[in-house]
Amino acid sequence: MAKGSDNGSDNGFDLDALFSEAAQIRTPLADDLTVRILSDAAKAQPSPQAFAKPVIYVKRPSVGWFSGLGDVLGVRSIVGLSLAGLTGLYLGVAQPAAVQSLNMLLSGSGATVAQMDLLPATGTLWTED
Amino acid sequence: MPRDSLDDVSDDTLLVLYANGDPEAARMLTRRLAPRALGYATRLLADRAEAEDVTQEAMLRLWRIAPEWRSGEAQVSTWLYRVVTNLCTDLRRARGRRPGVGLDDAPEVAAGGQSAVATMIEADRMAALSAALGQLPDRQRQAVVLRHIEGLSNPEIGMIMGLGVEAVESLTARGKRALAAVLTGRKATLGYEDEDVEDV
Repeated sequence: MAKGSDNGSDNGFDLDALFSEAAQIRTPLADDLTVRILSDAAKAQPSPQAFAKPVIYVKRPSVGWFSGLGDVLGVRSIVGLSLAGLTGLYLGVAQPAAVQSLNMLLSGSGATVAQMDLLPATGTLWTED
Repeated sequence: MPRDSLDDVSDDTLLVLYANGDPEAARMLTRRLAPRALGYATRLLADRAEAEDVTQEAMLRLWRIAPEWRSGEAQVSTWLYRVVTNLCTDLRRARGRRPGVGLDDAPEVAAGGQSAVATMIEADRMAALSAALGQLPDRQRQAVVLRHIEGLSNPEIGMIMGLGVEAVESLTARGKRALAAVLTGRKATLGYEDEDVEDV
């Protein structure tokens, strides 16, 4: 249906009447064109099976609280944290020579963590004048 | 999905149904959109066979884009008109512009209860309109057909042609003036003299 009728007459010729007649004419689809279009549609249509493919979730066997923590934080981060903790424990208990020489290089002394004053002069903060 | 239940479904939804594997959605979309695409292409190209090829190609592109279609961003019909416009423009460039068209190229007029004379007059008018449209520059012809025959709004035409509303208005106005200039001399032969048509 023609909606556009800005002005009824142009240059002495009523175009809107002509447009209106033209708008009434529907162009029917030939059967063979319909068949061609639907054939294309069938070829291009994604397979329904692609959408119906079932997704199978496999629940891992639970290993108590560690499994629950792994679900929250992720297994990799739990493993990483555990390794870091064990490494720290090892370095604290049996400090290898390489760490001692690194300590010597960085701090300029051979003092161990146990011998170092980690919070120097903080005691004065608590001293009342 | 049964055909009756798709009658009230929007084109957008039909396209999603098609993408999800519903074959009936393709039939419904074809029934709704293909005749409009064919009519529009026929008016732009004035060649039924070429218009059918363009319609088939435009519908094929619609099927292909269906899985990625984003509902609500554009109307399916607007998108399709745009594709048809571009395909017709490419086709006309490829074949060179045809100066005019004959009676055989005009859209067919159905003789639904009319007298033979009335049918002939209407066929003459449609042939004259088709020939006059064929003389317009591509953009003017597209704008005039979309506005006055397909009945789209100026913003819709702007989206199809990639233009602002003012540019569309300018194109349609110039197109109408050019058409009127071509057809004025044929007023009597097209049977408008005897009708109660108000002229200025």
